[in-house]
Amino acid sequence: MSAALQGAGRRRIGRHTRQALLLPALALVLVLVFVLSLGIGPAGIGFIEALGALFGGAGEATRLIVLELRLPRAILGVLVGATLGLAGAALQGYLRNPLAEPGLIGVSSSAALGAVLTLYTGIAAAFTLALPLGGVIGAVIGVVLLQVLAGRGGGTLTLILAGIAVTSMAGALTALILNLAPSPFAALEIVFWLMGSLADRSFAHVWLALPFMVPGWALLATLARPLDALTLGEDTAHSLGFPVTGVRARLIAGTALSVGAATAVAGTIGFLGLVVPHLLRPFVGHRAGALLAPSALGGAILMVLADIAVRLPFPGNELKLGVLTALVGGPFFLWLIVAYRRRLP
Amino acid sequence: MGAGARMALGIQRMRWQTLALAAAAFAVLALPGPGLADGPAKPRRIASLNVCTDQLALLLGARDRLVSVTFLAADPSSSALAAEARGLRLNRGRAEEIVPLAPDLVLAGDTAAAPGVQMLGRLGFRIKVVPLARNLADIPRNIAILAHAIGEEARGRAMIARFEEGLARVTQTHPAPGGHRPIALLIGPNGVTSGRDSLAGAIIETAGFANGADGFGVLGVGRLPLERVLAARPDVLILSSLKVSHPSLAAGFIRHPALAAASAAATRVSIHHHVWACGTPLVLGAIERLAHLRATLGDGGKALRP
Repeated sequence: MSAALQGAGRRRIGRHTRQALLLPALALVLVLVFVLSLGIGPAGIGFIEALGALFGGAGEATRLIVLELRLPRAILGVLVGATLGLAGAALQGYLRNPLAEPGLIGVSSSAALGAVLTLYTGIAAAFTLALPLGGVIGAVIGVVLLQVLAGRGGGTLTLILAGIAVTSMAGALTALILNLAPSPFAALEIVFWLMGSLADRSFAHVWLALPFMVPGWALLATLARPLDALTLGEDTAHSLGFPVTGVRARLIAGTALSVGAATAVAGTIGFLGLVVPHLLRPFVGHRAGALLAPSALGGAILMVLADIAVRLPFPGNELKLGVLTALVGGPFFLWLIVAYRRRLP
Repeated sequence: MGAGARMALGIQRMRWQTLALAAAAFAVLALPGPGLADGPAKPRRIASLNVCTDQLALLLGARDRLVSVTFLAADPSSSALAAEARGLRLNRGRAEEIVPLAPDLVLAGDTAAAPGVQMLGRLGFRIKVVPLARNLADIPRNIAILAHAIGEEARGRAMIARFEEGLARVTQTHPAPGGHRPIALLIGPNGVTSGRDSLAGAIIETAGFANGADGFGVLGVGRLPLERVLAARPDVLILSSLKVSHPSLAAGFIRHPALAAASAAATRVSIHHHVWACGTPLVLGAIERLAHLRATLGDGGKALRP
């Protein structure tokens, strides 16, 4: 019996060390892929030369390419990826639904609609912060619509169906606005808004998104303990001193702020928020709160990796990010559905 | 799909076909002009379905006989003759817009609005296709084709003579350097550029520059990512600017801070978007401006990179 206890203790310690090591390990991988991302691009600059540019070496053109094109791009990859991973983990935890994710449930597409509305009507040109604000307002409407349609514990199917409805409505309105926009280029830009891309983004986009993302992350981070309590059920959570309505408000605001700003600068990027929490859940056990920080880091890693991958096959004519995330995430989604169905009686 | 639904769809399709046939028959019977193989010598009702034929027809003085031009002709971003096109009926290249106007000549480009043009052809309208200009020699050729089609041969010949005279004058005043040429790179919204086998490429070469897009193997019109624009380090950055810049991501490309920093090192010149699109005598102004700029650069400029 004492041996069994000791065994349990060892297992417990094993998991604790695994958890303790998880965040530093993810951070290390993130640094590595970030550096890798700075060395890759269509200009054909050597890897060492590109890194030298970071520290004032290399020629002027190289420095400009690395510091003004690749660096903001890699930073945006980290910010957008962390946002989607974090929001995915929070939504899955709160809704107790393994298929919840900003892209699938329509938050991203309604954010894109909001951003498109401000950009193509010229509001974004007149008032700089209008673009991310448009994204945030779109995202708020998306989340609230979803709450009304599916609600908490409303069942996986209801949530996904409501998500499909919101996504197709927002997508159709986005296409409509782009078709009506006076710019001859607008109609072609629907691909960016539906598929997402980080190509040719600048620090201006980093500064646009960051002021909304940081408070969004902070709000979502405060959910860690309530989410753990919520896994025991709403009443228990309430009795533990976590007001459920306050938690919901923070989730909606945090998701809308971060995902809205991310979508406004990078377009709709699907499946990332779905895949990342599932990949990391085995490392933290089934505690929704403990999954938040690893999911943010994991999302950032996957996004930067995806952004490297879109540049590789056709340099100079790169793929859209959504193409890649859907190619990976789509089969994963199907596998999830199959696994989920098997578990149901 | 059930058999019933399929049948219903089939019937519906048949109905549409009958309707289309009836409409076609009506168009052929009821309208004057179309259906004749070569039409009258001097067409009185000309419809133009291409922004370049719009402008050439206007330049040849056919405004009174134009029953319709494209909506692009009236947009100052795409057309040099937007003011002249104002007041004319505008079309978007669809057959339905053209049929009621009963034109006795339809002008079309070889790429744009293909389905509409094909439909008009099937309905028996007389169509003249004026191909896209891919070099400077195509300009007098296109003027001749169009002038002949609209019965303005004399004006066409005069316009060709003026164009060739002007071109000769520019190349005499600013002869292209024999040795290495400074590099110029054309960049438009979305990073669109032009390389070999394009009108814009020919304009840049004729002005005595080496076209930076050639180094990237751009054939005709292509896209360059911003990284490659910066890596090319051109001596002259030619921005293809829009007169009325409606907000879009494409227009944002030109405002990227990295491009601004790069063009601080290069000479930056802004030439209107519509100049690059159509082979009209108006390209002479752009050639002259660029050739003059190149001459002021002197023999300087960096050595030509492959």
